[in-house]
Amino acid sequence: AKIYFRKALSSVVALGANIICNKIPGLAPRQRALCQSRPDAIIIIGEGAQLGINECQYQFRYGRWNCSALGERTVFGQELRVGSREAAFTYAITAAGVAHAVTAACSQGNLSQCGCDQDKQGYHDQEEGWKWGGCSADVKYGVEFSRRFMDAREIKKNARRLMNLHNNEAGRKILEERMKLECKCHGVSGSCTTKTCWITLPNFREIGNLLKERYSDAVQVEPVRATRLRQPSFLRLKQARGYQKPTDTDLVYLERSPNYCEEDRATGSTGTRGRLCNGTSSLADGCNVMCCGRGHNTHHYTRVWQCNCKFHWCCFVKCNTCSEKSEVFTCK
Amino acid sequence: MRLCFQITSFLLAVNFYSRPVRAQDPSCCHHAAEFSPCREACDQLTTIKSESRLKHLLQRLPGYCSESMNELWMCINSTLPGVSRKSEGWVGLGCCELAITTECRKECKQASSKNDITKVCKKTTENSLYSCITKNEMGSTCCSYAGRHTTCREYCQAIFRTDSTPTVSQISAVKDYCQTHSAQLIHCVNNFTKSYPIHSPVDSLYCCDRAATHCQMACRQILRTMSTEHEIMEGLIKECGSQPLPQEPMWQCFLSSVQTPSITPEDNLPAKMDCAKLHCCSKANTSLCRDMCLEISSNWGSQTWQDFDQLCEYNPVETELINCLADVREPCQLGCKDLTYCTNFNNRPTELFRSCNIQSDQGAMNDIKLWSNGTIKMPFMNIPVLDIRKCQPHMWKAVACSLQIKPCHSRSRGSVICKSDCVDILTQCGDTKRFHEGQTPERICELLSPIDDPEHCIPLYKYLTPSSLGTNTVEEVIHPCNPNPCPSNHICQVNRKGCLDELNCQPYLCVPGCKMGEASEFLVQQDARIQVPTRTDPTVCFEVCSCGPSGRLENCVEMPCMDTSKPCIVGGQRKSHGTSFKTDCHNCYCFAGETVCSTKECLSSGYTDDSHRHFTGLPCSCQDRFVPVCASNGRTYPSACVARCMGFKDSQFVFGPCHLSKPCASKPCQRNQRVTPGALYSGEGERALGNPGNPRVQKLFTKTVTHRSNSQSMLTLTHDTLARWSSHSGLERCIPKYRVCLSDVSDCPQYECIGHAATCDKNSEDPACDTEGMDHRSLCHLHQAGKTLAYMGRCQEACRKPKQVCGHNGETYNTVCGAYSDRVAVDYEAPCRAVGAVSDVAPDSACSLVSCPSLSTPGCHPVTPPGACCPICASILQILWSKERMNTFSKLNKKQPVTVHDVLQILRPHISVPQCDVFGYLSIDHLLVVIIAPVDQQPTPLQVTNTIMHTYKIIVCYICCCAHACVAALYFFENV
Repeated sequence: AKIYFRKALSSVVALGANIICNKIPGLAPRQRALCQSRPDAIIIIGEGAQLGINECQYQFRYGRWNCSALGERTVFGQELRVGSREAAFTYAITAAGVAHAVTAACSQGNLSQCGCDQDKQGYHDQEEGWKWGGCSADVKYGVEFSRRFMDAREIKKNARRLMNLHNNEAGRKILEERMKLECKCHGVSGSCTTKTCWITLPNFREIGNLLKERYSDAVQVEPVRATRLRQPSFLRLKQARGYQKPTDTDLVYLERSPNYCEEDRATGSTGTRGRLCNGTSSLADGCNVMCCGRGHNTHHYTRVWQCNCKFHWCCFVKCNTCSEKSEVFTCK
Repeated sequence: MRLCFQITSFLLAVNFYSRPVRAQDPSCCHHAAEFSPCREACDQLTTIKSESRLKHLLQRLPGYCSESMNELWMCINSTLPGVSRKSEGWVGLGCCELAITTECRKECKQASSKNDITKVCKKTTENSLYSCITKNEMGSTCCSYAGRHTTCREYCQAIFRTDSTPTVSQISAVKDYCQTHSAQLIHCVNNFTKSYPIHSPVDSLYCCDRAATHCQMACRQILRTMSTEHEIMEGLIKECGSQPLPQEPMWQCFLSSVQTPSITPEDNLPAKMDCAKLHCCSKANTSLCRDMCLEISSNWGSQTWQDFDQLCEYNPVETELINCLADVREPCQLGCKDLTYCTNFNNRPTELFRSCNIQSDQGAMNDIKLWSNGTIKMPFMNIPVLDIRKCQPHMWKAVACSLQIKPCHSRSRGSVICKSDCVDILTQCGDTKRFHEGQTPERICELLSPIDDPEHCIPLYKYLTPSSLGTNTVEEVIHPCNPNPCPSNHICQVNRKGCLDELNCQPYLCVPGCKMGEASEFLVQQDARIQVPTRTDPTVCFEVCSCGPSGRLENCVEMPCMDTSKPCIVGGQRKSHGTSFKTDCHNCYCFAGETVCSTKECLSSGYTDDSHRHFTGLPCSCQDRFVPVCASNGRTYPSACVARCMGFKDSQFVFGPCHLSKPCASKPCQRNQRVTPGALYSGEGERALGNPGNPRVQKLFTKTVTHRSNSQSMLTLTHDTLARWSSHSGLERCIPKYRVCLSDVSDCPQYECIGHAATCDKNSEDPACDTEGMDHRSLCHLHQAGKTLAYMGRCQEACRKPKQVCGHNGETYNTVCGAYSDRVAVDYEAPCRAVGAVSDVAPDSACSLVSCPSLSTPGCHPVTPPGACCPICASILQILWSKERMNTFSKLNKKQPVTVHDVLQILRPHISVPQCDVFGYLSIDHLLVVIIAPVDQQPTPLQVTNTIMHTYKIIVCYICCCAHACVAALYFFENV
């Protein structure tokens, strides 16, 4: 038999993990350490963060703030300076994204040191006729990993740290709550006498939608300083009487959002200049709202394409030309 | 980290200022050697007036004066109490923030040297912390050469700063500023920068394909022309216009090609989903199902599941795949009993079922209820039926029960109902008025059960009546592992060892196993070496992994890949991979372009009386004389002629059966003595029973004449004394261990070196019987007591008196128990004295001298195993095997030889009935002969039938054969 040896994995590569991890923008020292010791994990983390960023951009595609900010692009996207609702949303969605991606990577066998949820294996309910089987997503591992990595970003001991940590946790909590049970019936006979069940991750869009709702209901908080350390030690609702803490799944913010109309270095707002808007809508994507009253430019386009094509014997195709005029509006 | 640095220096400063500064006593500096950097720095201390300058220098003093200069430090401390001999705590302090676990971080901050943290901070997880510390240590050594030249020192330190890799400009700055001061420093720094791994950037060119289009060209250019990591990094950042982000494919590629030495191989192994299923995927008929099978076996997602369910799971085209997957999920088990609804399935101990349990029994009842509504819902169609409570209710019950209990057909493993039964029942009870247009019973059945060959389908009539065996079969065969009494992650095995405590002896054992992948329910035994598919198309690649105590597959090693698309060309005909066929009288098997055939002598078709007379049935038409020789593979051949015919050179065999050789006579276990390949034969002349006129034997005789003077008992005595003596002196003891090797990459040692074990595992219970007829808890205990093994298992009354028997392998055993313990079945009750034919057409042979035991069992179809004299009531499996593949497995297993015994031990757990067992040997024409025989003295017909079913079970157990590494080199052909 002809024998093929698989090419051995080359141990000499162009770049070591150390140098790449050192240059990745936006990592805290401990995150860098994790990157260096687990380069396989940082890839998954990057993908998870991107998953969150993409979802954020999708959710806010019609808003004045479209999930972008001025400043350097980091692993976690461009960061907002102001502790606003929007900042709260980005933290929650990236933390959830990382947890989601890590959990998915575990159950696909793409990440070392984790796999399927061991607690959801082997149990057989004879009475009900179902058993754990297949690969249940180990969301606990994903969440813990996200916690270890994402929370390591908060090194300054200030109120913003508390806000970020809370929102990170809220994002992960929402993911955990939305895990799904799926079952499969065995056999050809139609009666579902034995079922194999497993836990799966929800579609990330679902998490995005939920977080968007949370974003609308976000609560403003203020830090409470412990008397002795004089450091902010926990958050309480700003409007409430007494010491009322936000709930686990609330998104919290410290400062009011800017209007995101104009470019502003101080807040990180990119402004809406040049953004596409909808000429007929009166909602957030409408030109009136989007352009903050500055008015808009109208661009006319004509789209031309071949249509009504017919095959004639023998042998050519004859088509008509169709065209359509369209208008595109951008903010001034 | 930087933050931490500031805090420490701040604390140090506070500490320092809280005490009044006194002038440094110049005498302290005498403790430092003249003209050393330490002396210079110390001298400076005395002259400094400015407080901040003093503080600055004091902080740096540890850099100049080593920690070990106790006198100096004591002296300085007594005058300047704020000074610590450790700079900034310790060199690793700046690294502490890199610690991943909180405990380690805390420990690191409080530590005073690297030794303090080793307990809490694990090297494997805190990789970057340790590399940072090492770097800092190097830094403090190198930069101390800078002496008091602070600029040079600053630049030097910049190189070793933890969060950056040295840049070209940094390195040249050190050269510029330090060259004049210290050549040693430059040398030291150079050593460090050079010690950075040398990369071969061209190897990573493929990563450029994944870069954004605008920087692909630049990326290739950079990797080809630049050599240092730093240049490459800067180049890439500049050309591609962005900092590295782990979400970008190019950077992902660079990151994923990095190997992290800190992670041990087994940790690094990503979890595989389901290797057992993966084995099946190659059985798929269509590429669509193969791809989907690969997908569901390696990636768990609901979408693929549903697609697979719909398109492949019940598709008759994919019968082989479906059966294989069923073998993984619900392997065929012998016997069915205790059902309350499907009672006709009870008391069938010789039939195979996949799902004989209470749930399926209930399921069948539920199905009948559902079907009574007038529609049978199948995964891909609905069948309208009349009232099944009135139309053929018994047939319907048999259908429902068959679908749930899943009898497996012995040959095909399928659980498909025969087509004629399907057509019959639908013609009678199908509700034709509600059939779709074009739907007929025939068409429906063509889709549901296209098979009507009773060799491959389940006929319903079998289950219309209760089992013919009645209920008195319980005593004859039992199935201790069905239903499975073991906890999850444990394999149930029939207890064949027996127990020392006979009152609490279960007929089964639960042994820990490994799942074949994260989502797999298929278990393999611990310590087994398992084949795991890594790729299936077009070349098939495997890894061999072992099942570790952690319950996971680990230590995987890649095997050479095979091209299964390559056919075998035999006599101008193409045979595809995996097929068995016959040429002449030979059974052959095609494996990845390699043809493996049996080698027995064929009687040519046009034979004459003359050729018939000369045809002995032995290889090379050797005479059927019995002058046994022992070959280097550990097998005894009936004559030198046969051994030569099987490819052994004269130097590779000696006269006399292998079991009478004295493998320990050459003292192979003594320390510092390397075992040479010839060791086995060097001291064997004394047992040569062959022709004394043979010059070679003469030579052997003269060589070992001193040994020969000893009688058998004397030899044993000296052996025991030697053993006792060696155990006292800490030497290893040599124990003969006869084995027949299938691989030949290494020697086939016939002994084992047993170290003097101080304690034996008290929990292990694997009884062994010594030559004096005493039971021992385990082989270890037996050796500890200094005894010699007679056979494994408890001492048997029947074997108390020696009664020599001849095993099928041509070896004489003292008792039947000895033969059985060696997994060899008995040919006749006398010392070996003849050889039987291996060919089908055998003339009268020397076997006529042998008196065979009588076969009294009714229903027995006696068979004579190849090379044996006497027929037996058993089932025989002749297996082809490939030496090359065996050698591959042996190489992967640290060159441990693969033996016949190993293979039999792997097959053995598949015999689920304690009344039957597996025996086997290597036939003289090198087929692996596996015998499944009843172990009772007087086997019942039922037990004999059972052996046949078990033979089927072994053949059809595709997964169990493919999964075990060395069994995978066996090629079963249907010749039962």
